[in-house]
Amino acid sequence: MTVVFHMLIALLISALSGMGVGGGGLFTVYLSFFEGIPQLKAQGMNLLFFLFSAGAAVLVHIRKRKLLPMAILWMTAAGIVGALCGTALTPHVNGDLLRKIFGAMLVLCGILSLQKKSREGT
Amino acid sequence: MGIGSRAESKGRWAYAYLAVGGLLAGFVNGLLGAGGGILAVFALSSAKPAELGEPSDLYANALCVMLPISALSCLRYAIAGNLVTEGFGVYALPAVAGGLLGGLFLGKLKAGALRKLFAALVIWAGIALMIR
Repeated sequence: MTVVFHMLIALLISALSGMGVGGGGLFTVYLSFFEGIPQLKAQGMNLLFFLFSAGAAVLVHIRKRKLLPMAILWMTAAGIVGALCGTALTPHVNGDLLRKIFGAMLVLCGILSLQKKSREGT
Repeated sequence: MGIGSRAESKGRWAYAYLAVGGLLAGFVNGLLGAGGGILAVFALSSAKPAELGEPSDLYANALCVMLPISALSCLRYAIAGNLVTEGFGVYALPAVAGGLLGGLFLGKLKAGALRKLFAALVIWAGIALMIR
């Protein structure tokens, strides 16, 4: 029963993420709250989860959506530099502080998501 | 300056803007293991609104950006000993199935109510994490 519950939660979060509604950070929250996994390890597992989830979603998107290769290339190249800096900084940030920053990031994402909704008029 | 060169210059600025957006998205994603996607969506929607008319195209491009960036971040977490794979097997299959379902239904469902619910959930979770 517990395994089924975990799988359903993962399915829901992954589907939300693949639909562009959001969800990336929710898996970290789930691991942190319900599994008791420390913040940094939860973040690592969330990244692995995203690779499976987004990897599957991208397979669909490549066939069905309009992709802008140059835009993707520019953003990815710069993003790799950003990721190297971000991951280099992570071990030096206290776990509690990291959790609070993560919490603040979630609040900001939630507010931005609501604003996006009102702009799109959906 | 002709119309063509003006458009060219605007295009260059758009790519510079996207690069800054990608840099920030990568940094946040590396530092917090999440959150880069929403920054990528905002950068794309600001720089390429004409080319990406459909919100579903926007999200698809953002996912394509975040996938390699997350792969690198994940690798760096693993090297630093911050990637726990024990027990992950339970989540792997639902992650793939959910990703496929999300990809198929993106743009087909009215996501407005879902996004509102998600936003409320995320804000609650964020506040809970901050005061914990």
